[in-house]
Amino acid sequence: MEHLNEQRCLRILELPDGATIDEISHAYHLLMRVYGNAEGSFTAPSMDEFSAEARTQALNQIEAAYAELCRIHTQTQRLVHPPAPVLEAHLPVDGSILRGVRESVNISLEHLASQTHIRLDYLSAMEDERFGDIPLPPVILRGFISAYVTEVGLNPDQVVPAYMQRYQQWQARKSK
Amino acid sequence: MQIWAVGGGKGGTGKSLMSNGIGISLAERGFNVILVDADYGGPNQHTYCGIRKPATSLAHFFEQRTPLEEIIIDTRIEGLRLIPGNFNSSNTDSLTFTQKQKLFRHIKLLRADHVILDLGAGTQYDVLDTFLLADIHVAVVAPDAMSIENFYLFLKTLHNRLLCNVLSSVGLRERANAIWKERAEHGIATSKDFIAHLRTLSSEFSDRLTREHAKLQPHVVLNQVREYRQVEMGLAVESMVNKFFHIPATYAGHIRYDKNLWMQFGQETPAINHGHAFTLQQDLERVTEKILTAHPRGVT
Repeated sequence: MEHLNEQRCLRILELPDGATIDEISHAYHLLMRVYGNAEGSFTAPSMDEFSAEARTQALNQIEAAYAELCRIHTQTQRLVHPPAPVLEAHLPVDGSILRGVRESVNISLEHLASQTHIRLDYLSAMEDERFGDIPLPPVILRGFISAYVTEVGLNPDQVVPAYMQRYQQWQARKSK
Repeated sequence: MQIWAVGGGKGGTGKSLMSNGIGISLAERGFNVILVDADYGGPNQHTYCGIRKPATSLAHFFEQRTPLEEIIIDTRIEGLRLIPGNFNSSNTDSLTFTQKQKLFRHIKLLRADHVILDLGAGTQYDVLDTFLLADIHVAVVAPDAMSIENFYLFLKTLHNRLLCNVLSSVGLRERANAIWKERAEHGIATSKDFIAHLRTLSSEFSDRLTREHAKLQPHVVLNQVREYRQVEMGLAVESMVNKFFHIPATYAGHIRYDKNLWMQFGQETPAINHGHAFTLQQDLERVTEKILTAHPRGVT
């Protein structure tokens, strides 16, 4: 297998220099849909260029380039974002603590929204504990908070139950 | 002057529509544009322009030796003129070598900012050579397996034609034929090996082929898009052309299918400039803009 430097990896994924991890992920998934599908109507199986070997070779190259780019980004991400602070187990967790953690690792709400596909106003309401502004079943909120804490580098097993307790307390207050 | 060629292999994908749309977009930007109906066997660019019976045509150029400049006619769009195709001719099959050379020479001498060549379907040499004449290559494909398959074949044949042209220009054509016949003895299995072998024979050939290959950067346009998920086919085609044919194609965008377009023809007004085809005009404009951005030379 040829040596894959970062630039070569980006070319394989058909990306320009300086592509973000989001763009890399998007390009990889698109190419996997294209080359992982032998029956797509964009192939021409009768032509030698589209042989099974050529397709497998392209797929392997795409996989290798993506793996290498992910490795490079994981390395550099540690340099860009300081590691998330470790929260003490079973400490009460509220929205303001989550916001503090998010800000300490330099992740904006907009970035978080694009990563988790959660609406910006919901993310903001989650941090402010304005649960009335998130008119969704608790199971969805649990999914949201799990995605949030994972993205900011916390352990969801420790944090999600504590946060959901805050939500249940709010519900109990509301029904009184 | 920039010469555009609009081709793509399969018939009915919208090459004439695209040529017409590019012509209108450029004319609306204030450029002096000449559309050439280079569909030698099936011309109808005049119908797209809303001209029912053009007074002149390429037949006058070929058969009566009328200068090309004199068969240009005005359209109803300011800045957009047309050289109508070769109709009313006794022979529309193919051009002779001399006819083709003469036409190409005269096209290059036209006085305009942009000349747009509307090509016919197929992979005949006339079509390929006309495509290769251009500075900007536009390939129109429809989102179906047949159109895309024909497009790949078009590109592959085009590549071979380019190779033959370069071999002829350096006097290596016959030697190359002999090598190909005895390819097993030379350890040649694929066309890639063949080209690598030929490059070792002559540095002049190698340099010229590299230069000619570099000029071929087709813009792929996906026409007749009916569903959003079809758009991804354009990206897939772009990727496959790059990875499997090693041709640096770029996806210039899609044109949505207009179910009412058929009603706009046969009238004495341009088909896509009636105020009836808003999405079509928008899409053609967006695609033209994207292609123009990739060729920032503008007027030369």
